[in-house]
Amino acid sequence: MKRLLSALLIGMLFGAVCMNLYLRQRLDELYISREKLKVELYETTERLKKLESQDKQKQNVIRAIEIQFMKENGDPLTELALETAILELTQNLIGEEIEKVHHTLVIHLLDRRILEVDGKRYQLQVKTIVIAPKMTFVLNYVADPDADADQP
Amino acid sequence: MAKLLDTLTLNAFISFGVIIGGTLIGSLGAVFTGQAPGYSMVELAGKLKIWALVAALGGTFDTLRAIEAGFLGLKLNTVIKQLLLIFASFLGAHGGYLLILQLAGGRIR
Repeated sequence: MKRLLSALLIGMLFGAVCMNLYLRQRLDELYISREKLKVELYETTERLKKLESQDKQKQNVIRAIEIQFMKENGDPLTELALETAILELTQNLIGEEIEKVHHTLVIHLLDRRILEVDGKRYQLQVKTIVIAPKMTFVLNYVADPDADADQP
Repeated sequence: MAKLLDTLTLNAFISFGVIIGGTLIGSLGAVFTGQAPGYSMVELAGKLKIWALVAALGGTFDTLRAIEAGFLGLKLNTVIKQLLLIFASFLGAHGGYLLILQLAGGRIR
């Protein structure tokens, strides 16, 4: 009886592993799209809050922030997590008048900044900034070589 | 010699099994917690590699002590044997890691 039960349990585990391997790609895609939607929701909510609180008469103000990564073969999950962290850092720019934005300060806000994402550290490199009602940051990122690793 | 070969084979397969089993069953856990299974597989395989080595050797301290004793006692045979054991375990672990990497789509996170 015990043998049968053990066999059943192992069979169940084997089946679950096979199913997991079969559905892996679809589950990964769903996970990535969920994370993307989370980032979008966060960004939209923050923008809405800012826009609601600011004077609606002002025309030349930053209304949205867009983050673009120019890294080839970049990991989409890492980029999403980095985007969330960067949006948090740049939220205060929303509502600022475009003429009054100090571009050097904006560059130094992100350039060479080290961000920790999922236990790994990444250094940002600012490539291009477009200061417009929809402010765009074109960035690159590299893994920080000083990151700690688990050792036995 | 034959006994050493047996131990080397056993170590390689143990570390291989630790990686394959740990990763495949571990990724089931990722599914239950709402994480991406493919990404978790690659991440787990990378994290488990060093532990698979340790598990196959049966703890690092005995091996290190044997190497130390071999060096101090000038018993080169013991030192080479322990290094071969480590190498075999690493080979098994890395083989398992590469297999998982291919299963997960061949990307390194």
